[in-house]
Amino acid sequence: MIQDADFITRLKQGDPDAFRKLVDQHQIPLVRLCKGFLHNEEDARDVVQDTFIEVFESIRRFREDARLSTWLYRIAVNKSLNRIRKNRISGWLVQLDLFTPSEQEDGLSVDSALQVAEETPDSGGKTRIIRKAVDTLPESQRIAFVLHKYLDLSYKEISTVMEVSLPAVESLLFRARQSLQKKLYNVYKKNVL
Amino acid sequence: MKCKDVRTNLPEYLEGGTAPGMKSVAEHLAECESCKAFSVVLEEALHHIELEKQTEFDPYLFTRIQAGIENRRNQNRFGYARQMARPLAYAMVFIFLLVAGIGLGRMFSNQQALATDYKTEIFYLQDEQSYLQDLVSE
Repeated sequence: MIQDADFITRLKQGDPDAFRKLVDQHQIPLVRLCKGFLHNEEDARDVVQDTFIEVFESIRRFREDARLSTWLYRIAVNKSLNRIRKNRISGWLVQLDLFTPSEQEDGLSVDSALQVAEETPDSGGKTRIIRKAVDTLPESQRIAFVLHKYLDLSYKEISTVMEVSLPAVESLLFRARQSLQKKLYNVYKKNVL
Repeated sequence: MKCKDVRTNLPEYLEGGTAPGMKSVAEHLAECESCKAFSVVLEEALHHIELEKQTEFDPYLFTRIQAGIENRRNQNRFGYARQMARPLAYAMVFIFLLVAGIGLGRMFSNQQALATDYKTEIFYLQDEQSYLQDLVSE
């Protein structure tokens, strides 16, 4: 991916061709990243669109001491997490309305997903369990896991995006893997998977 | 290697880890049916993630982004007026309620004062009546 001073200068000047190139180059990685959090293609594309709009509006504030992609990933992660919080609140509000049963999957715990999977032990149930296992990770572990598994970032790149040390990333990923392994093993023990 | 230790190392093993313990994991999986079955479960989970990563290039994304930027520009044009409108509306409602309250209060106190005046007048009339009655009786 191109990151040179001239390209960034053109972006800061509002050059539409430069911006189009930026969108084309980073579109797919960003959608993958957002899908890691949102598990929904449409929501992921919405968030990616918002990310690029924010980048366009604040490119002049971009400090060239970091990579452009790092900055893009940070914005996309924050926007994805904000969308999750917003969806969660909407889900609670829908559930408060007793006459409108919620059809949203968000808000299901791993145990609830397990119950559903026992009732529907097909690939849809398995998918739900795996997603919920990832979604119920603590936030920093989840971010590190998604950056590693969905974006294929190295530990060093993850430490740059998350602004933490390399040992911290190693620790986060280790704990995320252990947590996922334990959750899936609990489900496996109940013979659902 | 015990099953619990194998499970602990299984995620790294499945991701192609090269740590020294991985050989022991492989040997254990060859002998333990239960751990082997669970490794299949974990592999499925990783495979699911690979499937979810698949995405297609959207040729219209740039156009939608431009439309989004234009929308925001239009919203910002009236942004200042819109920012002031709500506090102004609240202030006007507050002032209206304050004035209405003061007006109602005055009206109520006038009515009370009027009622007090009537009572005083009645009192004096009664007083005068009793005075006249006393005069007549004398």
